[in-house]
Amino acid sequence: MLSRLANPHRFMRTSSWLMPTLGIVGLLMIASGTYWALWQAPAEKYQGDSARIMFIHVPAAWLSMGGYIAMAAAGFTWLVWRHALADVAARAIAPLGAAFTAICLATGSIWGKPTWGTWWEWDGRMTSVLFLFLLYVGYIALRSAMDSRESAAKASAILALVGTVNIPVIRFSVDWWNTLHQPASVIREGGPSMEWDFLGPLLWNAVGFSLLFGFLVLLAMRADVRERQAEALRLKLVTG
Amino acid sequence: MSLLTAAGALYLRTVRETWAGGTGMLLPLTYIVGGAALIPLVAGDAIGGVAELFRRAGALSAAPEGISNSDLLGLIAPGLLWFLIALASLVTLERIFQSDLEDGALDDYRLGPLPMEIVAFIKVIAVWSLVALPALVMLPLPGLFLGLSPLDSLMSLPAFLLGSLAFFFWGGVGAALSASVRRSGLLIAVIVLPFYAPAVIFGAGAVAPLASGSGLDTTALMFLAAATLMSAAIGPVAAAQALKLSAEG
Repeated sequence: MLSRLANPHRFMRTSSWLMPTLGIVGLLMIASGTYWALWQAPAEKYQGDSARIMFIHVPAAWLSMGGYIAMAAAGFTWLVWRHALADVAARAIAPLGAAFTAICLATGSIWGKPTWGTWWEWDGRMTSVLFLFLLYVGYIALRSAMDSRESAAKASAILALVGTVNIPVIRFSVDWWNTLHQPASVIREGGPSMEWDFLGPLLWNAVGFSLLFGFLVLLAMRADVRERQAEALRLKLVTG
Repeated sequence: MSLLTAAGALYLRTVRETWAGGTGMLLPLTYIVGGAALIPLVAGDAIGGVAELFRRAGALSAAPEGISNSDLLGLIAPGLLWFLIALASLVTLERIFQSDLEDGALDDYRLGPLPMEIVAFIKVIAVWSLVALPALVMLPLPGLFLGLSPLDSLMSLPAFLLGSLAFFFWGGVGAALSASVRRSGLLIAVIVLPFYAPAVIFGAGAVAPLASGSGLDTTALMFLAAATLMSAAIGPVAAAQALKLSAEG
């Protein structure tokens, strides 16, 4: 299916209906999930209402890592098969992944103040997510420093692949360094330890945010493809 | 040409090139010493403030005059040295592959008998041995500036040797990726600093017990060695891929 979509024309045709669908369904799910999370879900026993920030924090955290993995996979696809669209995807994901990582860090910080009594602590999970953010920033900086699209694609794909060493560190940081951040409570051995009252809206929001992420990636990808087409047209006009 | 001869020639060429490029043995050492000399100036007041806090809290009441500001500076000295060495690796790696790309030596390497992974490995080791090794041997000097006893500096040497190798291997990846970029110093720093984290964390952990006079933390030292080995395994391969791709144009 991926190789079928590698054709830019087919991609533009498919994404022309897929993109708005993802956007509309995603926004509807986030709106309903937010109502569920803020008004329907009970207040947490110990943290009260402040725990509700989890319904943004956790999906953002998942997407920050999922985005990076997708970006590295796109880079790998580009390196091996040289599908131009793979690089378009990687380029589109980078700023969005960075944004979701920033949201994750910011909401975590806001959540940390009332519950842990500090905005920031150099705990294993927080530090490794901060480094994930810096990886995204380095990726974007490297791309923008290159003078051709081709060399930007090459260098950034290698950097993204090397950077995947950080992903397991983030995933297992709460188990390796039992410092401050709570251990995994959803994706773990023996199933989620979270109550359904919280798990329901959390998963609902996670799907909603993922669809929104997909919508934004497709939006950026389509703009990129259009930009390239415009450039090709311009060149054609100039050279005749 | 046998592989060993080729490897030796490459090593010598890189050393000469780095030396001629102005990054002799003394420059990185001076950089570290100069950096170390600035730290007491920026942190001196804060260190004095910490000492005052301790005195007020009664923590130092037993010997209020016995503990000096430089003792407190010595507590954070190993961490500061890690910081300075990490920065020294970043500024010296900028040109390691760039000059090869510009003067065509990179194409020679690709046609030569050595695989590019080995080329990247040897070049990084060459720069490390010219830049980091002499600076580390002289570490007691900047250590002294920061209130670290020469004996402690020497005892922490294994950790610094391992950690600096990890810095240079990761730094080599950044340098190879940005070989075609002019003025790539800041870019290399932004790219590779996240990769320095494991070596810094375990390295600082390994030398931390020195302050209380209980030798190196061997567990942290082993984790540091693992982090260094990982950088040695991944770094040259990634750098070689980056060099191959930038040589393709």
